Amino acid sequence: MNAKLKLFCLIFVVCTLTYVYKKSKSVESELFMFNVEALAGGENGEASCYGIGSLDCPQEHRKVYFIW
Amino acid sequence: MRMLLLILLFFNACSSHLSEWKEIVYENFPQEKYLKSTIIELDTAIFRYPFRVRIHKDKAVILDLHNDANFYHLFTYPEFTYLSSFGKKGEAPLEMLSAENFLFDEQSVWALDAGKSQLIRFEFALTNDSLLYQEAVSLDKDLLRALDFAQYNDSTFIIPDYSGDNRFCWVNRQGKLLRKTGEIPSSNKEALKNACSALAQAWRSFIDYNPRNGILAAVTQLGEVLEIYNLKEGKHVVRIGPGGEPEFQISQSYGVPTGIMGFSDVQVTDNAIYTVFHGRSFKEITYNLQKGIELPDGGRYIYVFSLEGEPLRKYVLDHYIYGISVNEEKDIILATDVNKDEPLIEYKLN
Repeated sequence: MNAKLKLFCLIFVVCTLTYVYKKSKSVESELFMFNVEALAGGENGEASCYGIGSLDCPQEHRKVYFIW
Repeated sequence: MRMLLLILLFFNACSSHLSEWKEIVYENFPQEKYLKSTIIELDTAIFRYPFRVRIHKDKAVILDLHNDANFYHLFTYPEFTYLSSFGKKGEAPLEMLSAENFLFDEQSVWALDAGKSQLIRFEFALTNDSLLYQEAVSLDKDLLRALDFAQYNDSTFIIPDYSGDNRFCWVNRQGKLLRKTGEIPSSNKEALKNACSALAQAWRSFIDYNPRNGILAAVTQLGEVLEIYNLKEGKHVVRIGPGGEPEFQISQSYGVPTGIMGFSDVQVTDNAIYTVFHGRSFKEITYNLQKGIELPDGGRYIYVFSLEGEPLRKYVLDHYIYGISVNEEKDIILATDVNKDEPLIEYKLN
C-alpha cells in the first residue's frame, strides 16, 4: 500500500512538472510570436512603442527605445 | 561653335551643381582619434537612464530620464559627491510629468517638462547643496510639445517647433510665444506640404546656443543633419552627413522612424560644435529585437565641427554614450552611459 502510494505520488509529481514545463514553453512561444507580429505590425499602419529610451513615443508621450 | 559652347555651359552647370551639393554633404573627418574612458566613481546608485550632464562652477547636475522618484541629481564638481535630487516625478502641482533638457542660469536651473508644457525654475538653497522649486512658466498653448530648449538671453527662450510650420519658436520669460522662424530644411517637399506634423516629429532636434559667439546649433535625433544658425551674422548652414535626412514612414499622422538613429546631444563651445552620433540603423535594431537582443543604446562617436560647420575631428569611443559636457580649457569631455552601472565617464582629448 505504502509502495503504491509512493508510486502514485511520483507519477503525480512527474505529470505536474511536465504540464508546468509545457505550459511555460507555450507562453514563451506565444510571447515570442506576439513580439514578432508586433514588430512586423509597423508595416500595416499601426504605430507602437517599446522599452525605455530617448525616442519620443508619438502616441503615449513617453521616452522609448523603439517605435514601429 | 555655338553648339559646342552650349554643351560646355551645360556640363559646367551640372558640375557646379554637384560641387555645391558636396559643400553641404560631409563624408569624412580630417582627423580621427580613438578615446579610452575613465570611469567617474559616484557614491550613489540612483541612475536608470542618465541622459544629460551639465557642469556649472563647482556643481554638476545629471538628468535621469527614467528615474522613478526624481529626474535631476546634484553633485559637487569635480569630486562628484552626491548632494541632493530635485524635479520630483508626479502629477501634483510642484512635480514634473516628464523631463527634457535643463540648463544653468547663474543661481538657478531651468528644466523643461514637456508633459505639463512648462519651464520650471529651481534655485539654489542658501546652503548651496540643494535646488528648490521656485516657479513654473506655462508655455503658450500655440506651442506643440516642447522637447528641447535653449536660452537666448535673460528674457527669451528658443524651442524647436514641433508643429512643422517653422523651425523654432521664440518664447518670452512668461512663456508667451513671440514669433516663429525658419523652416525645416528638408528636401522632402511632399512631406513639407502635406505631412508637416510627421516631418517635424522625424526632425526632432537637440539644440544648444552660445551667446558669446551667437551660434545656435541643432542636430537631428534621426538621420545625420547638423544646422548652424549664426544669429549675429544672420547666416544659416545645413550640413548633411552620410546618414542623410531623417527617414520616416507616416502612420496615423505620426512619423515613425525608419532610417538611422542620429545625434543625441550637441554643445556649442567658444571654438567648436561637439555632437554625439549613434548611426545605428532601425533595420539592425529590429533584426536584433526579433532575436530578443536589445543592442547598446547610445553613440560611439563624438563629431566635432567648426562654428561654420566644417568637419574637424571624429572621436571613436570605447563606450556607447548619450549626453556630453565639454570643457575646452581642461580638454576633457564628461559623458553619460545608459548601458552600464557606471553612468558617468570622462574622456581626455589629449
